[in-house]
Amino acid sequence: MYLLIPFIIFIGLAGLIYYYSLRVIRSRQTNKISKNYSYFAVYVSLWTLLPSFIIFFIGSSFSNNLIQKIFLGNAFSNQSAIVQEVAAREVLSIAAEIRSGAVISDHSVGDISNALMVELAHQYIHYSNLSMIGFIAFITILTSLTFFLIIKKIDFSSSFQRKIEKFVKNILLLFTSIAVLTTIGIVASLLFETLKFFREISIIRFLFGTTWSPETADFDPQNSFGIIPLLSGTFLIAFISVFIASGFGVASAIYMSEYMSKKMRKIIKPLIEILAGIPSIIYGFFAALTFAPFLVGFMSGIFNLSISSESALNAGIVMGVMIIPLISSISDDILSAIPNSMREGAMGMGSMKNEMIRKILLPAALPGIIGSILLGVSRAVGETMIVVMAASLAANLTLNPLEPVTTITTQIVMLVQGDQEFNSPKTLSAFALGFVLLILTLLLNIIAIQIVNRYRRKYQ
Amino acid sequence: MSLNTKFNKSKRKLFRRHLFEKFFKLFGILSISFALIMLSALLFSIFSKGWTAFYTHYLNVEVSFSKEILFNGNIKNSYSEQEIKNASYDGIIAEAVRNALQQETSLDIDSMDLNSLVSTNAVAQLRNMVLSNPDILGTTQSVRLLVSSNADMFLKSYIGSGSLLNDDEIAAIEFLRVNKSIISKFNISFFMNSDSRYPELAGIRGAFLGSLYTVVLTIIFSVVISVGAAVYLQEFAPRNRFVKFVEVNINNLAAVPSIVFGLLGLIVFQQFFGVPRSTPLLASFILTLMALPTIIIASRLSMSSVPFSIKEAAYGMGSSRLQVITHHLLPISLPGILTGVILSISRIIGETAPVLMIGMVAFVSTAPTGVLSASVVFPVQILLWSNSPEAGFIEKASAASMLLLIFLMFINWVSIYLRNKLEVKF
Repeated sequence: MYLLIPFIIFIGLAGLIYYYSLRVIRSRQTNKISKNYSYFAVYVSLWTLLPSFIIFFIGSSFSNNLIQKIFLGNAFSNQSAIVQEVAAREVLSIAAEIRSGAVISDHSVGDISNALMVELAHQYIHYSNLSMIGFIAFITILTSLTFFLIIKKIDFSSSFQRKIEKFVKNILLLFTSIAVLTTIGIVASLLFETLKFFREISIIRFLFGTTWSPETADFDPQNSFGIIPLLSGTFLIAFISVFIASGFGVASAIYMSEYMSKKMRKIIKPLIEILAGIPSIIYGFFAALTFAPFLVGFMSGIFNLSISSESALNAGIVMGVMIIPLISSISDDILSAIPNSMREGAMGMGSMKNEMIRKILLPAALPGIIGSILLGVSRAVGETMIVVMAASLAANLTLNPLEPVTTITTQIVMLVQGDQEFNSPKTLSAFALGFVLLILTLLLNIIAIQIVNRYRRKYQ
Repeated sequence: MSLNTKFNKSKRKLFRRHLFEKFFKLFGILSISFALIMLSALLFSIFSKGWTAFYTHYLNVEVSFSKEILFNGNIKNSYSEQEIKNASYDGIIAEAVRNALQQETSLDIDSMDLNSLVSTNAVAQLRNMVLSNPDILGTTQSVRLLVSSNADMFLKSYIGSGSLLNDDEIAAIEFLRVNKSIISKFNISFFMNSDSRYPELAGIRGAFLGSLYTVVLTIIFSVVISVGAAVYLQEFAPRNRFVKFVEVNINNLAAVPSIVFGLLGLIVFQQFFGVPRSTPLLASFILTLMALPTIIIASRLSMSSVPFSIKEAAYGMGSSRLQVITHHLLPISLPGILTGVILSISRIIGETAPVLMIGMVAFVSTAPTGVLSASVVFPVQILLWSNSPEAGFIEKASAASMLLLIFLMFINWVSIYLRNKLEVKF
């Protein structure tokens, strides 16, 4: 409701301006050819409302922050910084509760009583309402002023349709640039935090250190952040999963495209693709609660091997199942892109189907299949939820798939969830890990897409 | 070499080749079956554990609201609200359960913790009964109480005798079940409650609303932005370096791990722009950026399949560019855009890692009231429950996973249906 009021006022203003500009253009009618008045009205409303909308948006959020800083800062000035921050957040949530008309729950923080907080919240609402009313009055005046100014200055003989099209084009360009801004944002934010991390921890020790133990960061920060065990764990799990996914994925793609009848294919292919649609959290749940006990029992029962319930094998196999559809569908595409003449030629020479596949199709499709496998590796390296739930939290430098290992993504989740102190090396190391992850996956992807594309062009 | 041996040799070779062909085929069949077996194992393990969360057990007992027990012997005609709130409801619950177990002589009732059979919610339930109608003090009412999570888990045969339930308690539960005092009913609280510390009271309402707010916002933002970007790239963009760069960029964004988007949201949206933590609004910003590449790529693909003749006919009739786009291009490519949107949304709904980064993982026992109140989303609720040791929470996590899977399958079916129904072939 609180946010709706300015919204409604803006819509009302827009309607009014639209209506009045229509009246203005009807009364002028200087250009007899262009009867499309609505373009004029839209044009005028846009230019009238846009400045005040921007001013309102920036100004109100700015003033809200100002009120929060000054008013709440004064109220809790005798408390420590953390308590201040928590208490300020609590006051804001009380204010939200009061505004939504909900029952006010207990929000007391430390020795600050709930009654005081509620009192503060009421005051806060009062101030922010005042500033809101001020802003609304201001933008109403501003809008009417700009409206009269535009009506006075505008050249009625110009083509408003073209102007609006140009405006829309620019808006669309703005939307397009969001994609670029996202990339810039990702790289800049990760790079910035990573540099902050390297100011405290040496980059050599980070890249080549063999112990990863953020819990000891407080007394020995230099030797606590070695990424090697994380990389070995990540690639061990990724290797297991891609080994499984590429074996079974390529084999099922071959079987589906070369042996299966069209009818069966229509049933089986969507079934396998269901695997791609299952969220990774559900795979993680399955890996941790169903597959891990099964694997422990299976290994000890049949091979007499003792295997950890958080083993790399467990997470790897389940992740492999998740990646099967990725590899099988790309391989399937690539196999079906190979011209039939090659198949027929091989079969005509008297080869069996498997010989034709092994000696003709696979060599021809190999680059594409390798590309799909690389895509699978990049998926496996960046996958988070399965390893958060099924892999270990303790870093363990080993290549034994039966032992627990941890991964880059698991550690990022643990570090960021752990505490909210943004300048401790512990939290900063999460961003350094994120940067490493980004570079790894991007490299794998660029190589994979290059390979796949180069191959696809060959037969087209 | 005689002809015969030659013939035999090639016969053997042919046999070997045929055998290998059979093995080759078998391996293909085995790999497909491996994928299908894992799929069915996953679905079976989740559905078989999950469906039991849709019913729960209640205990029908005669509760006597004795003033003697409730107010520790302080017998009056009327009590203040404070007194009623502080009364000892545990006592009358224990008394009611004791009465229900009276006929079972083999039990050592006196040494049992009778309150452990019913949910902690029973106290609040009785208190509300008295608060709404103080006249029932001193009378005996037939009440339906939720059983405790341990008892419920035993009744659904997830746990047996052990540290959670001793033999006496199990005998008591068995007796009450045979006695028809314990009945099973549809578990409405699973849908009406939000998260709770007690497994028998936890429900999905908060997570559902959190996901709903997040997804609705994400759809609004991402559809507007990505369809706009696709139109620009397809219709307006000059073929220059910048546009090439944008295209490469979009393809690369699709491959960035989701957790990196979470880190971006943490730094840019939460720290820099000050969007409140753990809220659906913050989550929707991150998820919008994740959905962009998929929808842009799908929309462009769909727009590029619109025949030139249609656009040229429209231009020939004097349409402007914008008119061609809004009157012809978008309506014709709508099915493709819709499919892209639905597919990316089905990915967004199950996305967990990025929202963990922005603190949507805290325990929130109230349903969110808006896009700016702290909440969890559906997959995070699954994570929270599956990390809890109690069997009751595992059951809830399975049930939530089951609902999520059913919903995703439904969405996929809708997208296939819409595509087939709306698609215009040229």
